[in-house]
Amino acid sequence: MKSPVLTPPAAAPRTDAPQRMAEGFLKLSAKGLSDLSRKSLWSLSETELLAAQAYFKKEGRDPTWAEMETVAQYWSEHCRHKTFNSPIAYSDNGRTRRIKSLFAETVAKATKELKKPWCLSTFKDNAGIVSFGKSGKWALALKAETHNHPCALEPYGGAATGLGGVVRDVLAAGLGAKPVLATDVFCFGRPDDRGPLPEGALPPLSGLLSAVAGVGDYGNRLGIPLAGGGLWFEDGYRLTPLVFAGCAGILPRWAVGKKALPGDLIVAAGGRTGKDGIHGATFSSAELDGSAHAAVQIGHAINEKKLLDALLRARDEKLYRFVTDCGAGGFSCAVTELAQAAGGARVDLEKAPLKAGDLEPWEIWLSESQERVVLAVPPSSLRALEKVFAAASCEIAVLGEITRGGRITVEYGAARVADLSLDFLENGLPRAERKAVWKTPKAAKAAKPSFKSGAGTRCADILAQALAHPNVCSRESVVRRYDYEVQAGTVIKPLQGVKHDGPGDACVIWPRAAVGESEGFSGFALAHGLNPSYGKIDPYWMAMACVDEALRNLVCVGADISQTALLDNFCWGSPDNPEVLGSLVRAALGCYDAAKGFEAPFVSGKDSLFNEAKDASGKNVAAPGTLLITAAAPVRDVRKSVTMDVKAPGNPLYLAGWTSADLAGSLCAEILGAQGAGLPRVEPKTALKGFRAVLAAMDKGLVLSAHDLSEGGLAVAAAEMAFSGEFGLRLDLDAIACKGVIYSPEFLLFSESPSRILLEVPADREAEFVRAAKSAPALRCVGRTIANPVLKVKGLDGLSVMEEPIAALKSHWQKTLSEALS
Amino acid sequence: MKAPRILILRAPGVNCDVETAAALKFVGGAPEPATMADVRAGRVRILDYAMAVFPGGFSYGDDLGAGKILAVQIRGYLKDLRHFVRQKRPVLGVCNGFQALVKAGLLPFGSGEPTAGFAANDSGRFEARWVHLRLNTQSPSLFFRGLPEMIELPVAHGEGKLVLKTPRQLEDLKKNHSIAMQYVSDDGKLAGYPANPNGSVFNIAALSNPEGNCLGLMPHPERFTDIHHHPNWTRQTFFKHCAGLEIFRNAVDYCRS
Amino acid sequence: MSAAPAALSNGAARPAVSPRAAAVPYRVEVNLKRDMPDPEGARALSLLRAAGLSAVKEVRSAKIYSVRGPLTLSHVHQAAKELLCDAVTEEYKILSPQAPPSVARRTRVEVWFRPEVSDPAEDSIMLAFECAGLPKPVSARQGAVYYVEGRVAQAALEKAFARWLANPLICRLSAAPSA
Repeated sequence: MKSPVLTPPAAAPRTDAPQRMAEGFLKLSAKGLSDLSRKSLWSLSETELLAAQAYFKKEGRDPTWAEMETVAQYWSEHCRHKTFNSPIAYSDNGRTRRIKSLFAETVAKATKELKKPWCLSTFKDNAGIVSFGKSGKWALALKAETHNHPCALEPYGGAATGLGGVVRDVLAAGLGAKPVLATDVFCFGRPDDRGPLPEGALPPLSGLLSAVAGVGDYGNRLGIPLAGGGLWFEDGYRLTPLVFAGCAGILPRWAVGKKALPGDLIVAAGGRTGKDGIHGATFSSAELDGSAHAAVQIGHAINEKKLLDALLRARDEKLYRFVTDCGAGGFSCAVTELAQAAGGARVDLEKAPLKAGDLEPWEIWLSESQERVVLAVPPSSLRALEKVFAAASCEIAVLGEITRGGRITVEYGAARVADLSLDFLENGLPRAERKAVWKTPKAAKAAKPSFKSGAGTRCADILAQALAHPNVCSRESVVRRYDYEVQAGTVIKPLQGVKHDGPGDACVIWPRAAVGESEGFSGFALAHGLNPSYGKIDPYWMAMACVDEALRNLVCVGADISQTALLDNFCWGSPDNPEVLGSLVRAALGCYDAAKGFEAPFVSGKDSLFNEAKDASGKNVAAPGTLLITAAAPVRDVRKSVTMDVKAPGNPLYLAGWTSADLAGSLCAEILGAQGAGLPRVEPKTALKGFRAVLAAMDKGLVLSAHDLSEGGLAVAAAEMAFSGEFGLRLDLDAIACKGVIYSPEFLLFSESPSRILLEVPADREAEFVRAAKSAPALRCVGRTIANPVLKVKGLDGLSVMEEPIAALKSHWQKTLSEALS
Repeated sequence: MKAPRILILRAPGVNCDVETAAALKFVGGAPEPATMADVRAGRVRILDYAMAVFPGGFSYGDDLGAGKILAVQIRGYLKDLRHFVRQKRPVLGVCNGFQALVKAGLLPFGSGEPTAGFAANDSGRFEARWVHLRLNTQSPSLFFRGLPEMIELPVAHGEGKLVLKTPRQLEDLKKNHSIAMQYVSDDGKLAGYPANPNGSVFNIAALSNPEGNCLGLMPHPERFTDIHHHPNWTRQTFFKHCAGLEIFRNAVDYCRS
Repeated sequence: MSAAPAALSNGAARPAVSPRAAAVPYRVEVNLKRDMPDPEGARALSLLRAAGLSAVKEVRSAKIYSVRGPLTLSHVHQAAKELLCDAVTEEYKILSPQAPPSVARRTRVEVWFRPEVSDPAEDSIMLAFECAGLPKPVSARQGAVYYVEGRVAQAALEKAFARWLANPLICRLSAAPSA
């Protein structure tokens, strides 16, 4: 018997037939199901389709389109993180073991084992929540998200709505947090790239400009300071740019928990529902082929701002019991989540306010129109809620109510649109085992770099190129397009130094406007760690390095890292490719060891897979496996924060941390076009000891400036400190604490050994500093600040390695991006 | 003595209201936020207040130009504002609030007809940066008492270039001491970008009415109410004045006197 | 061929006409006054040059509004004057529905969000009409206009716009020689 062929509903809307069934679904063969899934953009696998078919067989009927769409949305990679939650047969250099759930066995395991009492909510809400301040009255919600697939196609709208989404995540964390900080991190192809592009692809510079404009236009309107972030340029991102957005928000402790009760009204609040972004969730699981277009929208910042104002007001009046944001999958995911949390739900889509009247019920159910949240409201609070929202010119509508039946029932007027078992949606997803293979690449085994020490003058050339490198150079021309000081809480700004243009390591937020006077000078710092170059060699050590980098950035501003909360964002290619998945597993294992080693739990995270695209010749190219670590930690007294610019001449400079010849994946190796050796290997225990010692000295006011050593190593860090503070520096390479014997000045200056911080110490309190920081491993005085505005480096032989005017160094550092973006 | 009631006027997209209210509270004011909808519906009467503030932000998204729709609403729904100004009660417009007051014809002169406008920054970009400002020592502004001639404040805007309807107006503004603040270099000279972040004519950063009780400024005084707001507080090389806080203090003190 | 007048400028007589059929939108173009610098035009110029169009000499930018509803021409004049245009820095013209006549060496490029993309400015425009006591439009859109000076093949210009200034996924653009 020939199995029937089904086609998705026609584009022409017909709201008179909302209950239309996917007739013949029960009889479809596996192949027929797969064809249907592909045509309908469901991105469901054959096993998943068969599981759905089996469920409907048990129900004794064909599904409606809306039901299958719900299954597709709810089971999407985007919503359920199938790769991180499904079994994996992982082969590490030939040794195979079975991972039942990558998530449970890596990032979540570390959190569970660390059992930090200040972690108030991890992984289960829209954002992670930790305690904030000293009174015990406040909490901090943290979230970082990606919006890669929309940004590859439409970076302006994609970056804007990505930021809007993560802000709503924080707004819907617990009963709602007031966003006090936003961040963005972009990975793009190099700005000077004018190479051939496939049809429809944007030049990297165009994409970057649009993404920056999108974040600025949206974020500035919202009035959330955009004070943290980063940029990374490399060819691997030219077709698959990565766009991360993060947000931190303050909420009262009483608002951390939420629980909807049967009988509560389900209320949609915020923007209206339109045809925007249907299939966004399933689309993000599909490799980019240019065919998906409906997932693109541009967002409406003022609607989000109205929603934000009204929701926080309603929260303080305790007018609702549950809130979740409408992200991927729209109502279908948000209402189902709410139903899952409460035991059941019934909604009538006819009640949803629409932008235009031509939407099919299933489109209303799936639409990803921005700036919407769903609330559970006790009926007695509805009138008061209406008043609060009306005062903010923000619309709300009662869609239905919380029920007990364990089902999600969706109607459109009298017509039944969907009626599904919540147990099936939650637990019916079959977990297929995937294969993952990791083989240590040759590059990770290289014993010696392919370049040798050269003449002393070469160091100055390398430094000039390092400072001008897109991944090191000044970000000022981007940062100033964002309002990083709105809310008057940004006490340590992204730009620092005499001329307000030096590169800060982390921002410090003093959320006085959000918490009032109750917390005195309590604040928090937020920083990032990112280095895909290391990941190309070994994602495990990349993960370690990223966590280390984020923590040492926090240390540099004086944050209390004993209470560091981490966020993970994994961006990889297709997990169907065992090698891609192997590298992802390796990175996740690194995250576990780093979190345990640094005693810093993950509180939330997200993965974005299938970051692949076809190039101009039709070849499939995956983005480099990329891990973004976001770290936040309390600053107990913001008045003790430290910046990176040197403060005065004549002060001793101390380097904390061991230096090795770590040049694999380094900026220096890239500049020399050579292969490095020695990937930076973080030793968390040693690192932590050093960080704590530095913080102890900072707490006593014994550190005038601090800067982390990352891409470009000591030379870049020293140059940046000098030109930002407008004083010279003298460095003595012989004084550096090395592991092993290093003869080459290049290695000493440009090694990227982890866990190192360069510190300026007040000359008259040097002895006190040494006592306070004595437990720091490998703490050495390596030079001095000088009045002469030059960076002077003395080599091991006592001869000068370089003597460069800091003005020249600064000009190298400043020109790259400002020229590219002007 | 009772804290003076200060009306903080909000509209969708206004986003500096909370820190502005906080600043006024620090210096003894009693800020009360209200929306333009409250005003329109008669729930709030401006004449019940001692002072009115239009905070910064992006009212209505600045979709028809910065502050434009808010200006239309001020003219339509807040007819008492001109009377309020004539009674010498303080009115402050910051950034978007300044733009709205100018477009509503309340600044620089309270004629009701706009005589100045705003255009996109010459750089074509949103600019967030701290600027040096020179206060007009002859300004009648009640907001400036006791302030030094040179202060620093941050700006953050995309449409801050002040343009005058006719060149002759500049002479009028000078004559009336209406040019309240100018963007200057760190040594106090009129200079181009980036000292003048937007290309405003004659480096104008703030305008006052000739009577001195209505001030509009592009920089954000509410963002400099504590020394830790200053970008170089860790260097401790600047004077200890929090210019922003002093501006609010002057207004609240005036309300009390 | 008799070309229709391209625009009814600020000072043009205002015939008392009955509201247009709601299907035909009014189009208002808002230009910066001639002596005003045009950073958006400068940005477009540098992007078009970056895209390889070295023959482009100058770009001037403008805003354009399309408003549909129970409005008379005098309503639209009032709206243009009081709402859409800044009296000090800008001037406006109400475009006729017909295509503007052509003059060589200058191309007029009109960029709009695609109809299926929600225009974030729509609510504000409608609200502004209401605040000014005008009839509320049924729909309103905001777009951008670029006057590109220099001899450039239209196809090349459109491609450059698509890559650098108006992503075809969310925008539609029409380029035509113009006055």
